[in-house]
Amino acid sequence: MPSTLAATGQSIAGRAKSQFGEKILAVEQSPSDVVLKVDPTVWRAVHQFLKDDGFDLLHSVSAVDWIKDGRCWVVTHLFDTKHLMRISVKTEVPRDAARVDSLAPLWSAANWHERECFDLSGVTFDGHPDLRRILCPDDWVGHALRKDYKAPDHYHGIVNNVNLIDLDNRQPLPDTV
Amino acid sequence: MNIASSAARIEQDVKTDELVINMGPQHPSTHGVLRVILKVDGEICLDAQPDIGYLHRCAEKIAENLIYGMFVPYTDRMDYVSGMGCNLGYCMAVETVAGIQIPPRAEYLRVIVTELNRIASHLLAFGTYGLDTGAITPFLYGFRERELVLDLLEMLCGARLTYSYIRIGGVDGDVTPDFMSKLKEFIDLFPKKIREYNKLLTFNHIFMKRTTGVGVLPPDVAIAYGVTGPSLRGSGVKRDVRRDDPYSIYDKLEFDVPVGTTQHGGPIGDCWNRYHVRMRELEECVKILQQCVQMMPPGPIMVEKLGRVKPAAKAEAYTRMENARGELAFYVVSDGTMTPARVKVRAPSFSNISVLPEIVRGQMIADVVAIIGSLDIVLGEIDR
Repeated sequence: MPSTLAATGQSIAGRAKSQFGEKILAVEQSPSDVVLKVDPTVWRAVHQFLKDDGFDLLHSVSAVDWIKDGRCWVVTHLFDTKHLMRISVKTEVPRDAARVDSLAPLWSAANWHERECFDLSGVTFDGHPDLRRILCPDDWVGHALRKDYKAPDHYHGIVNNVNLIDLDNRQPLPDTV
Repeated sequence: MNIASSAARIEQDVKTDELVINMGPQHPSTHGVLRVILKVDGEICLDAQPDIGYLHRCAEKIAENLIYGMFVPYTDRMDYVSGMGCNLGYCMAVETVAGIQIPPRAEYLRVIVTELNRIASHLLAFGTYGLDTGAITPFLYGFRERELVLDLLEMLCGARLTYSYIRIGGVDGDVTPDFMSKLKEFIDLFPKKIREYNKLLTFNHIFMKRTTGVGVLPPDVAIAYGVTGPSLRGSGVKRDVRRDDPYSIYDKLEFDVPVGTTQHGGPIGDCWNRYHVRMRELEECVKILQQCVQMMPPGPIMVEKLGRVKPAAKAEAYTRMENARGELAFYVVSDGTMTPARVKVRAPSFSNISVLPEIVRGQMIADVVAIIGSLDIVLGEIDR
């Protein structure tokens, strides 16, 4: 069932378009949101513009890995809790150099959401006050939500039996734990 | 000389150092495996940094390797005290992406089970909050009625916590006449029990002293941190997805959205307010259930000929619903195959616990437990 507020972002999307010109690459409509596709260089500026207009609730920051295109989406979902509006902002970055500006100076909520996005999807947020892993341990290798991610065979002596396809020829456990 | 002034005199002579204390991950009042790194000076907390991830299973990665319908049981294990809400959130997201319309009777059944589950969840919050603040009896009272709710849900789908009752395209099975009569009995009985809880704990003098004015969360800070649900409404912000962005059949139902007040003689947004909003939501749940029982139409409970769920490539949807702890949102992106390209879960507890350092600063150590309890977190959905 599409959201009742799905089209509420249209007017602000139009104003953003006149403010940022061709840096707004497209304005799309999904069943739930107006999606503002922006150039990565104006990532923070667009969010600042939206925040000044009343979008006070940063709901989530997520990334989608498109390995075939070599691209990675970074997507935020924003809500205006006073005027009941919703909008989504999306940018595309190369997946081997996935970095955008941090939104932590704008919303405190961005701090943890960006840490999660960094931890699981491997997106770097420039200007983040404390960009370290949040769900995985600090010494974990790799980012799980990348499509080419392969979980390690061992972690501190704990055997990962998900990846052990060749059970007969498995590597011996390391001596040191 | 009274105690307060002598204590003040002792404080003047004693030099205290800053001390870092680990609270958890195995601590009975952290409601799971939450670790909080507390920095204290004497009895005063200077900082508290939550450390999460002890239950991390990367459910989002699991979702990418399963066909859409197979992920439903995993959503139960996120917020495991309010599993129906997680089922509903995920199914709504997939239905929005794939453009599936579900029959009206299924919508009513979905609302009935999620509201029942909200009652069960709030009763657990009520009971454990009593435990956190030093009252053991309310826990037993809360579990007595929670048992009735879980029995009802067990009649419906055979499980008491991990239901997987809500499926893509509808619900798993229809209600029996026996279920409906038991549900009506429960609806008649429960308002009396809420009054009992209020007498026992809500307006108990000791409990009110323990929670009034403790851990005040200002509304602007709450919104900046993305706090939602009863924790946000406790700060006086009247925001509820069921009202503001109604999904399912909530636009046809009448209910109030309780917010924090100053009726207890304390500030808006303190622990008591967050707790009391949950108690008043129990009454609203009963109202919603009454209306659903009266209005539920006959008809099918599942879409006919659902077929394979295979949305168009790059189709996406972000749906949010009001779960017991706040706004639960699912972001589903399709790559045109049988499995999703991405399922992002926006768990309410994740944002709610991130505000902890802001509330705890300057409070007493003993109140940290009361503050964590008032936020009512579930680690299963924080860590996912």
